[in-house]
Parts: sequence; C-alpha cells; structure tokens
Amino acid sequence: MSKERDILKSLLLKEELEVLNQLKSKLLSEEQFTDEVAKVLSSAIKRSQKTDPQLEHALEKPIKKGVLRAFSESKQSIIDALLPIMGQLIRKTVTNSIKQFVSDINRAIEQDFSIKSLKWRWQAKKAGITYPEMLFQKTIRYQVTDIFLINKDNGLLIEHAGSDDLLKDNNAISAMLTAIQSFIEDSFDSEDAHLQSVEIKNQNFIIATGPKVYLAAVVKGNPTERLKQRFQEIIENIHAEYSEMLLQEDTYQNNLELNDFLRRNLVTKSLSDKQKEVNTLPWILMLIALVTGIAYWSYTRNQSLKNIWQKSSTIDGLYVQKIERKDGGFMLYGLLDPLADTSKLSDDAVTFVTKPYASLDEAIVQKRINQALSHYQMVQSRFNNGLLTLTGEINHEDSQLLLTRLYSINGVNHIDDGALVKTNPPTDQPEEDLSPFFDQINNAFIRIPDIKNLALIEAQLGFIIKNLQLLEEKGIKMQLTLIGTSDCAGLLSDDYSLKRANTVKELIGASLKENGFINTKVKKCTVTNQTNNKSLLGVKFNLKGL
Amino acid sequence: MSVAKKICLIGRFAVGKTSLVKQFIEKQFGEKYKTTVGVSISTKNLTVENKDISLVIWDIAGFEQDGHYAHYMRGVHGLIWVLDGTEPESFKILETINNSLPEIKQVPSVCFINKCDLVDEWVIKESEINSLKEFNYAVYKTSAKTGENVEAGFTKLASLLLSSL
Repeated sequence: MSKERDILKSLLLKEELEVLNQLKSKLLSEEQFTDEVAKVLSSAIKRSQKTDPQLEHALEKPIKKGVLRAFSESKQSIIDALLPIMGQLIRKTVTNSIKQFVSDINRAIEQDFSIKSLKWRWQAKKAGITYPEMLFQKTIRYQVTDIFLINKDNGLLIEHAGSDDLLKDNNAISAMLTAIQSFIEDSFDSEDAHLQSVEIKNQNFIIATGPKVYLAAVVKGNPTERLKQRFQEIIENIHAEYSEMLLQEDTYQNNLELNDFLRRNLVTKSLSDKQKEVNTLPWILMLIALVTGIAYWSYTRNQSLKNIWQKSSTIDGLYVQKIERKDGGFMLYGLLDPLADTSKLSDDAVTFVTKPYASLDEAIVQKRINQALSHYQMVQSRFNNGLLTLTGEINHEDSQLLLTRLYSINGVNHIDDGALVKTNPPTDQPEEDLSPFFDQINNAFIRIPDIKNLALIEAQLGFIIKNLQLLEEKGIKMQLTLIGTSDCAGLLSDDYSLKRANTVKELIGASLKENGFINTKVKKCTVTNQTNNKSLLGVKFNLKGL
Repeated sequence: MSVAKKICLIGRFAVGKTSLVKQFIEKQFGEKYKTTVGVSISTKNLTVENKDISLVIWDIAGFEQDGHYAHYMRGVHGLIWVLDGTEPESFKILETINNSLPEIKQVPSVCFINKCDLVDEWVIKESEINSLKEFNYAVYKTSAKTGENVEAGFTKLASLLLSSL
C-alpha cells in the first residue's frame, strides 16, 4: 500500500518533490545555507535597521566583543590601521598646545615694553623675585576654587571655603586625601613623605602640610610654584594664629573666623581680571607725590625768580626789562647806571646784560652830588625831591664853579645855597699866557672807533683833562665845545656823533670841579658815504677863554 | 549642627566590610566580590536621638598585612569590628589587632558577626560569640546581603559616639 502510494506521489508530484528536495538539501547543508543567507544578509540588515530598532541593540554586544577581541588578537593590525588617524589627531592636539604656548609667549613679549611690564618689574624688585617669575605669575591663568583645611590625623574636615556644588561631599574628599596621605606615609615608611599635589580629572589639588593640619586647595588651570609657596605660607600662618582651635573638633565646620580666613585666599587669576587685581592706591599716591613734587619744584623755581625780581626792584640805578634762567643762574637784561650798587644780587648767580644809562633815582643823584662835593670837605648837602640844599663853608671863588657843576647833574632841579657861607672873595691877579694850553686842546682829535671802549677814550683824554684842570685851578673862565665827528656812512651818523661828544663830556666833566662850560655839538653830515672809515669817528675840541 | 566622626571598619580579608558599607549607604548588595585596595571612604549622615552626625566611614582593606592599617586608624573616633560567622580565622585577628594597637581599646566600638544569612554554614560556637563581650562590644549578627542589623549596628555606634561628646 505504501509502495503504491509512493509510486502515485512520484507520478503526481514529481516536479514539486524535486524542488522540495533541493530546498531541503540547501537548508540541511550548512555550506549551502550559508551561501544563501550571505546573498541576502546585507539587504536584510539594511531593511531590518529601518524597521526594527532592536537590531542595533542586538548587534551591540557581539560587535563590541568582536572589536575587543580583534584589538587583543591583532594589535599590530589595529595599530597600523589607526596610525594615520591617530597620527593626525595627535599632531592636531600638539599643534593646538604649541599655538597656545606661542600665544602665551607672544603675549609675554608684547607686555615686555609696556607700562605694565615696567610696573611688573617694579613689583618683582619689591617682592625680591626675578622679572620672568613675575611675568609668569601675571600671565598664567588659574583659579583657586576650593580650600579644605583638614585634620592631619583623622582626616576630618575642619573648614571648607569655596563652592559647595563643585565637590559634593567635602567630608569624603577630606578623608580620601588623608587616606592617600596615609598610604604614602605607609608606602614610604616615613611620616615626612607628604603628598604635595593630586590631579583628579581637571581638578588640581595643591596640598600644603603643617604639623597638625594640612590644607588642600582645588586649583583650575595652571598653578604656579609661587602659588604653592603661598599655600605653604598660609598653612604656617594658620598654625601660628589658630593653633588652639585646630584640634577642637566640636568647632569643626563652624568656625567663622577660620572660614573667613580661608575664603580670603580663594583667588581667581585670569587675564580678564587683571584690572580688578591692580591695587591703584600706590599709583595714586605716586601720582600725588609726583604732582606735589612738580608743583613744589615749580613753586620754588618761580619763587627764586620772583625773589630776583624783588631784589632788583630795590636797587637804585637798575632798570630791569626781563630776567631769564640760564645754566642754573639768571640773565638780567635792562639798563644799569655805573653808580648802581648791585651787591644785593651777588649771591644769586646773576649775569648782567645791561646798557649804561644815567639814572634819576635819588640815591644815584645823591652819589653824583657826593662825587662833586668830594673836593669840598666843608660843604654838606641834603637832596630831596629835586631840591639840593647846601650848608657849610666854601671859598667864594669855588662856589660858582661848584654851583655850575651841581646844576649840570641830571636830577638836580634847584639848589638852595642860602646857608652856604662863602669866604675869601676873589682878588685881581695879573694875567698869565695860557694860550699853549688852549692850543694843545684845540688841536686835539680823540678817536672813538668803539663808544663802549671807555678805557681807550680815557687814555686819549689824559692831557686834555690835565690842561683843563690847570686852567680851572687858575680860575680861567672858559667855554669848551666838543664836536662829534663821523664817517657819514649811515643815516644815524649824526646821532652817533652826538653820543661820542656827550660821552667825552661826561668823562671830562667827571674829572673837573665843574663842567657847566662844556657844550657838545655835531659836525653834521651833508652826504651819506657808502664805505666806513673808523678813523673819522671821534671828537674835536674848541676851547675859548671868556 | 552636625558633627563629623571618623569610623573604621576592620576585619579579616573577605569578611564583608565593603558589602556592609554598601548595604548601609546604598541599601544594595553585590554578589561579586571585589577586594578593597588600601582604603575606601564613604560618608553617611544620620540623625540619632535628635542629634545629627556625619559618619566618615573608612573601609580598610583586609588585615592580612602587618601593621599596614595603623596609618589609617589615626584619630579614629569609632570602630566596627567585622567577623565572619563562617570563618573562624576572622575571630583571631581581633586579638591580634588589639594587641598591636592597644590604644584602640578606648575607642567606642561595635562588633558585626557577618553573613548571618548563611547561619547554617556558621562554624563558630556561641561561646566564642560570648567571649566578644569581654571587649565590651555591642555584638550584632549582620547580613550585608539581606541588610539584617546593618543599620542598627551603625546607628548603635553613632549613638555611642554622640554619647561620648
């Protein structure tokens, strides 16, 4: 029956059975099945990824496992494969670091010639550290965010300053740091082996250890060696100032004074905060001192100039036009009477740049009067407001000469000689031939190439003055005309000629008892010459007896 | 105001110190054993008898090395001795430590005989448990796995610490 059925099946389902057998062989044969699955695997994964989110989760573990195995079994292949990528990544990281470093260096160099650098140099000198160290401190950024003060023995937190959010469990942090300290002491078998810094993620712990407690500061950024030293100083200060309360556990985390002390040492050191850090007080004080110094210097400078002006104004016969400072002294410009007394300015390093003039100051006029009266010992004088009062006794013969001379003094407007006793009236005497004296004077010509050179003029006037004094002693009434001459080489030649005649008159008059008989005039130029001739510059004399 | 106190768990290797701490703090138990290297620090704030206390728990690695624990025990306020009911050797170390650090006898302490969830496997005798009272310890049969007596033991120690203030 069964045989017959098989025959029937083969007759009826021959083709279907062949297909079925082929499928069966494919499924049962691993190799063939693998080939079939391989044909559709990629498209099946793609489709499944779109429709079934569980696929990724399903593949995650085997892929991860596979990758790890591949890493462990084929390290060299993985390294070879990753090298191009890792190499670039490392290069990029290193390049960025170098860029930052170069940027820091550039910034430091830029600061080198600025006012800020000068300030830093001054601060470095004041702090006793080198300029590069100060520069490093000023340009490196860091922030002290938390400070823990911890019992060295049991690791309990004594005080904490900083952000409570940053490190959630301060007690645990304190204990862990202490445990690390203990581990180091145990490892090195020495209680002097202290932990100095710990880096956890991007938090740097700087640790400063004291005899009873230690301090752990959380620093972000790049802490400097100076900062570490500073914390060591802080822990020493804490032991010095708060020694008694450090081991009083009932005050732990409830000591406001200690907390405040720690809080003051939370530092933010960044470039953007530099302005805030600057203590302007010393600079303001320096500025005030500078301004005060300048003001004082200016005041004393003006005061000394004012002092010279005041002294100058009290000197009779001195007319000041201006005073200038030069080479630590003063240059005084103006007019100066030869009889003026400038001894008041002798201590003030004053150089006189003056022109001579005849002053009408009463003191100077009085000096001229005294000069005129120097030959008359018995005559006294009093000069006031242009009035000259004479008293005493004088030879009658001399009285006229004296009066004439006194009247010739500029500033003397009136002479009161009512109280002046005249003695020995003049007597007639036989005339003497005095014509040689007259001739000698009339033939004379005084050369005056430079009107300021008085010495040269006086030297030439010697014999003339001598003759005139002789004639004066003999009581000869005379009239002397001084005639100024010139080379007519300029429009002002006549003016200069008159000056020459007046100068000679002044010099002669000063040597005689009286000079009222001396007149001056000019040999006027009728034409103007184009060339100079100094030999024509001088004074001629015309002396007549009366 | 909360006071902070340092307490140390001491006991032989694998008696369950870290698991007890984990149970106490996180109410969790890990089946997988991970040995503690050096010391592990945890903190827990408690309110006992209306007083706040912050326990800084130093879970010190198993006491197989001579004296290595001494540094970690400095300044300790309270101790938890942890013994293993299934391990008789864990009882011996108690005497060893007491001999090497006699000063800790003055420190308020409690004793946990751990692994009471495996009480069928316990090999220690009741007389040995009673002998612990010589040290004036409050003794708790604890299970880090089930949490039995864990909180009670820690709270007892906290109470002892507060009463000593």
